[in-house]
Amino acid sequence: MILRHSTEVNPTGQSAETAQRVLVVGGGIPAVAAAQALMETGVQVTFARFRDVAEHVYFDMPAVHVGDYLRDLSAELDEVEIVDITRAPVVWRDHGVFRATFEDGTESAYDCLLLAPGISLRPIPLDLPVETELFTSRIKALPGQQVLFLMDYKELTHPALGMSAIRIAAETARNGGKAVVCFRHAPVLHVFGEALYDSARKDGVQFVRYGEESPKVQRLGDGGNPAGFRLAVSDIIDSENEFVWDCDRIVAVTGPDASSISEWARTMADGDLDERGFMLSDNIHSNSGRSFASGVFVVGEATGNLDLIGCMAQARAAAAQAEAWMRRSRLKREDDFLSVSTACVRCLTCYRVCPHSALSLQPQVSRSRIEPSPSFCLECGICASVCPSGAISLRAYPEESIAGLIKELTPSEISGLTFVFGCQRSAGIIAESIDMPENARFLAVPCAGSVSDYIIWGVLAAGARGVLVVGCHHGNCRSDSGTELAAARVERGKGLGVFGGKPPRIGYFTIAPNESARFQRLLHEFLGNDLP
Amino acid sequence: MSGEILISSEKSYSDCFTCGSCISRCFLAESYPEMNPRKLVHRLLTGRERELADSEFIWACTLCGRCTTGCPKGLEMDAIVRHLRGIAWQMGKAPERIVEGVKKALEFGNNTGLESAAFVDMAEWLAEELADEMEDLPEEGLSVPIDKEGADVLYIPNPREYTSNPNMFQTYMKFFTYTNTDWTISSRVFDITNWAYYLGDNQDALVLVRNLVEEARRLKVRTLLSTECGHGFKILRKEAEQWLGEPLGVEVLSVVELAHRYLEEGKLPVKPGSIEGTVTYHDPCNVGRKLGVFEQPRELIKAIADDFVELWPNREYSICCGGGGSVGQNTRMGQKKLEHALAKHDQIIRSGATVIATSCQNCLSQLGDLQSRYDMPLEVKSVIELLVESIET
Amino acid sequence: MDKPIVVVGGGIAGLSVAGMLAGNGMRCIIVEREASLGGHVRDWACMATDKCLRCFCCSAEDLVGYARSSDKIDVRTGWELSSVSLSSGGPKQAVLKRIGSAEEKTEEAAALVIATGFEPYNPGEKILLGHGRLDGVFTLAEMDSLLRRDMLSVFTRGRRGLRAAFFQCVGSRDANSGANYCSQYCCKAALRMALKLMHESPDISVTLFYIDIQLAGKYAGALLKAAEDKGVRLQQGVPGEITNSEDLLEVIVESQGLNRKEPFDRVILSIGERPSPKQSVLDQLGLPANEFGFVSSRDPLDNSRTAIPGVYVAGTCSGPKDIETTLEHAGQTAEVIMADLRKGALR
Ligand SMILES: Cc1cc2nc3c(=O)[nH]c(=O)nc-3n(C[C@H](O)[C@H](O)[C@H](O)COP(=O)(O)OP(=O)(O)OC[C@H]3O[C@@H](n4cnc5c(N)ncnc54)[C@H](O)[C@@H]3O)c2cc1C
Ligand code: SF4
Ligand code: SF4
Ligand code: SF4
Ligand code: SF4
Ligand code: SF4
Ligand code: SF4
Repeated sequence: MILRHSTEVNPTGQSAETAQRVLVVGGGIPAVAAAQALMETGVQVTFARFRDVAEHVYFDMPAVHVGDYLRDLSAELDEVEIVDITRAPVVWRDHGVFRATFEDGTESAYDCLLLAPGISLRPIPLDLPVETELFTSRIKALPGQQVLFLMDYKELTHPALGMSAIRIAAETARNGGKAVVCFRHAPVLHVFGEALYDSARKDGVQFVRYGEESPKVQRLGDGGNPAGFRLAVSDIIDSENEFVWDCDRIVAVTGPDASSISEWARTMADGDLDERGFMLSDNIHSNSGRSFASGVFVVGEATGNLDLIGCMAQARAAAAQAEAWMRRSRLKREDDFLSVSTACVRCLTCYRVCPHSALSLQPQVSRSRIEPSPSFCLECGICASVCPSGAISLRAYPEESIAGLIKELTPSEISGLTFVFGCQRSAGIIAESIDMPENARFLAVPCAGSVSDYIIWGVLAAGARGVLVVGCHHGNCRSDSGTELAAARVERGKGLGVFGGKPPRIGYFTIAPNESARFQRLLHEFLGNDLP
Repeated sequence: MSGEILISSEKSYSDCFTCGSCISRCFLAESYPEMNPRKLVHRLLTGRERELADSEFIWACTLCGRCTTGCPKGLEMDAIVRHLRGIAWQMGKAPERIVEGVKKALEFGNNTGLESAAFVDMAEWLAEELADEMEDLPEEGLSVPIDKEGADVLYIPNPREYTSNPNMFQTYMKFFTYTNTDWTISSRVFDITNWAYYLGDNQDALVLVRNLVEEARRLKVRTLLSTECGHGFKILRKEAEQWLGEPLGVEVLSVVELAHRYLEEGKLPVKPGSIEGTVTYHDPCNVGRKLGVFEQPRELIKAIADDFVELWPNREYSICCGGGGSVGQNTRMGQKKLEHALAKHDQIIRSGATVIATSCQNCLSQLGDLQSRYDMPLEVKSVIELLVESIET
Repeated sequence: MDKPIVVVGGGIAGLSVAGMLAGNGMRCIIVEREASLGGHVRDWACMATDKCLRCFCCSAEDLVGYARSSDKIDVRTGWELSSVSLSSGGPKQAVLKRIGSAEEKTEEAAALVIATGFEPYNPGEKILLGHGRLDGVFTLAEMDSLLRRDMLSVFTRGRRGLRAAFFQCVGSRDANSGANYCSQYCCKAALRMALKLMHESPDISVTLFYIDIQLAGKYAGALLKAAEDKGVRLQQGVPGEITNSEDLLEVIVESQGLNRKEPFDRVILSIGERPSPKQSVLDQLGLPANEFGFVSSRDPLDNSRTAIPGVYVAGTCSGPKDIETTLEHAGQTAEVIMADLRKGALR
């Protein structure tokens, strides 16, 4: 059932052509916060809202009731078009914008996507008694009861949940109950985390710290109704003594469960996931909700963040990022720095490698076609470096400037030179502030991955003494895979034959822009120079 | 069982967040590898304080408070250990000698059980002996002003001065004489120590303190003057008012502070450079760390000795001599008090000092024992002793 | 909306607020009292081993580059804020002053952002930890700056098989010295530094003494796991004293239930973040500080706005943070400024 409760979109009167349009998909506090932030800065927002995105990972904070807070935030979405959905819209890239088809068949275009898919908590480990409860925001203080809050069991507890559990434990203890928190690491998030932990101890919450050895929990009594549970744990502060405690209830405090992230979100972000399956890679370029897929932002619990304060900051920061991104991409849309010529043989390599989803495949009845979207392109040059037919023309692609450089030099000049191709984001920044040795010629490239086999071989064939490719550290490539590509090409280059009677000197290393000293050492080592 | 002990200003043992900082600052760490201050607090927190009553550690702890210096929560370990000792004491597990001492102190005004008359006799006899031996006696001669109302200061000695070490008593007599101090001693209360404090027996500790204060009020003195003593002085200065719940109405001073006052006023007839050798100073835990009396003794020593060196670490981080907190008096501890003091020993040897001065009877006795046990190449002196030596050169 | 937004402090936070605002078409002035931009991160090193460990320190270079090249951002290094005039609706004018001279300049200001950062804790007062007295005791800041200059040999002195120890929470989580809070960055920074040291000199062995390991942030769990896999010994309880004999550093710790004396060759103190020394301008603005001395924000869920309309905070000046959180906070600050300005324009 679809409800479009606001048809009068964008009452400020901007025409749909000029206003920036964002589609927010998901639900929960981060989605609402992001939608509100975007709305407040004049962006036209459609909020495709899942009603059932779980709220139970957020906890009331002193002076803030999360339910009320969400209601208050939602009440302010007066300029947002809200669409209640049960199924995610189908979204695809088309001519530099996102098109979405909703379940009722309507279709709209957007400049940018902001996803807040939510997440579930990791289930209770199976070896705990079946009566064990999962710690969610539905668990309030348990007055008069003996409650065990079990943290870091099997897998470490998420710190935001841990803090909340400590607060509930303290309330339980204050209200005539008894609470034991069993943990490996006390979470003390934010500037007030320590005070929370302090006050819980004062309130009489008992903390038991264990080490490698997991606590053992046993059901007491028999039959369907247990008479309680017994905790036995080796307390590392007093390890000769096992801490044994009988309690009425056990609450397991876990963390986000990556496997529960909705498929639609993974698809819309082009599978940009980190090592553990949370959304957004472990890469410094995917901070504040930015994903590798151009124009797609992800906020909230699915990024592995269960901290309400952090999620609010992330949602608003992502909104600001999204706006800046849209401004840039709109300018680029008009520019023709990227095109695919008819030389294309439709091998689709570029389509597969483009890290920023800037190349789309236009299925057509007769022949499919690669369609470049300059608005999504970050000009890394990776596509051009892999294209077997030279069909891609990209203004930033370094091939021509390298060829030009070589032309200016005499063969004898070239023979003494090592060509250093460094990513403009790391080595390029360093090169601006140091003196290059005489026997090296530095050229900043848009990404180490843009240095094709062809470029490497070409330079060596022209008689250069060597080639050195310098990329960003693995995992810090703005185009995700550029570094790996460069490493593989250099390895291949080393296997090449002999040019002009000499084996080629060809090398590769990675660097960060704040490693000027190390860069110089490695450069001189490669060149065989003495360090200045 | 007893509830939360409030230590001071709302700090309680539940503040401990197991950071571990205290462990490495306790000089007993290696002697008692299976116990440390953190574990102690933790046992208390987990409701196992009764088990601790059997632990030797609570009696080996000198209440030195060094662990407290690193505690982010400022947990006062001396208060915690006294609390535990209190439990042990109630369970009849306290060291007999200390328990005896408290009984005697309550009955006789001193923990040795010396009768008042015998004490007066002894004091007078010591004064006579001193008068015989002293050459340049001031004109008024030398006497022991007993129970003199309206004197400037009421001097409270440590029993060690009239039992095992009567020279000490004479030293203070000389000091008062040379500095023309208007002093007196009481025939009723003549013991600065407070062994009830050691036992965690707070009620009796209060009685003992009240006795001292009331005696000062009775004799209408201006100043209650502590001998060179650690815990007794500390209790008077830091605890008494709170325990009694009222202002003392009398100034509390240690004899070292008095000497320093004289030095500043130019009334201390010492001779610069008169003390030979390399002199160092041991900060008694109570006088230094707990009361912050660091500079006065140093300035006094520097006024008479040219070659002063510091022990490292010093002042608030000074390592305990190993004999405080009743350890020196506790016959059950035997020679352990010396074995526990190896860190102190090493620290002194490293300093290269030939004289170690301090200002606590307990430290003096412990350092003296340490010196003879390990044959350390130095002399152990009290600050006042050195001053008197300097005056007499 | 011609008036610029004045950003005080050109660290990661200030750069990032200004960058975001400029990216959205707004004019900014960055006032930085030092000669260069970047703040503390300028001294921190890259922790990459065979891959980036996400220390985020190199993000400063990107941000500085952007600020320098953007025509919307006016960078005033060597300047500080001298005074601000406020109207009921927010700041009106900011008077800037060139450091070390009497030169002053008055700027109209649409909004004011305080991004004055933090101060690394100086462990000098913890004399039993021996920093500055014992050879072989370093701070994390010193390690960072050695590595940045590619001078790890100052640390190793050519020795092989070094035993190194990290002491966590030095000057943090320390109510006694007025810092009853966690600095949020240092567990992760120490784990990364441990991995980096083991990468650079594989024969080193590392023990990390901690109170609790803080696992906030996306990558923290992975770092802990990597450190465990690499054989970093994680030991609960941080020693409060380092003694020395010869050139060995000795600490007493409780390990597996027993107090032991352990020898180390090097100790690295993970120093905390302290509030930047009190700013006269903040006094003048009447901006309250919290109990620890950080600038107070309105409430935890609206922590970019201050009590004064039109005056905002970003980054560590409002509480300890790592870079990732600082960037997020700064992004949020930029966002609420844009929203507030728009609302003002609508009014
Ligand atoms: C040893 C150490 C290592 C660290 N390593 C990491 C790490 O690996 N990863 C990580 O995420 N975080 C790390 N951090 C934390 C990181 O340094 C901070 O998160 C970050 O620097 C915060 O940036 P900021 O802009 O808030 O503050 P700052 O970096 O302090 O910048 C503030 C800027 O404001 C300027 N300023 C101050 N007052 C004024 C004034 N009145 N007028 C004008 N300008 C002014 C200062 O000169 C400075 O440039 C580390 C911290 C330390 C101490
Ligand atoms: S240059 Fe890079 S971002 Fe642009 S289309 Fe090619 S691969 Fe994609
Ligand atoms: S790589 Fe080149 S040839 Fe292959 S699809 Fe892309 S543009 Fe066409
Ligand atoms: S008071 Fe002294 S002896 Fe007692 S536990 Fe603390 S450091 Fe050890
Ligand atoms: S130093 Fe204080 S807080 Fe830390 S473990 Fe010891 S008693 Fe507990
Ligand atoms: S984020 Fe840190 S580790 Fe990664 S490349 Fe940048 S400076 Fe190096
Ligand atoms: S981040 Fe870790 S080292 Fe830093 S203060 Fe917090 S707990 Fe201590």
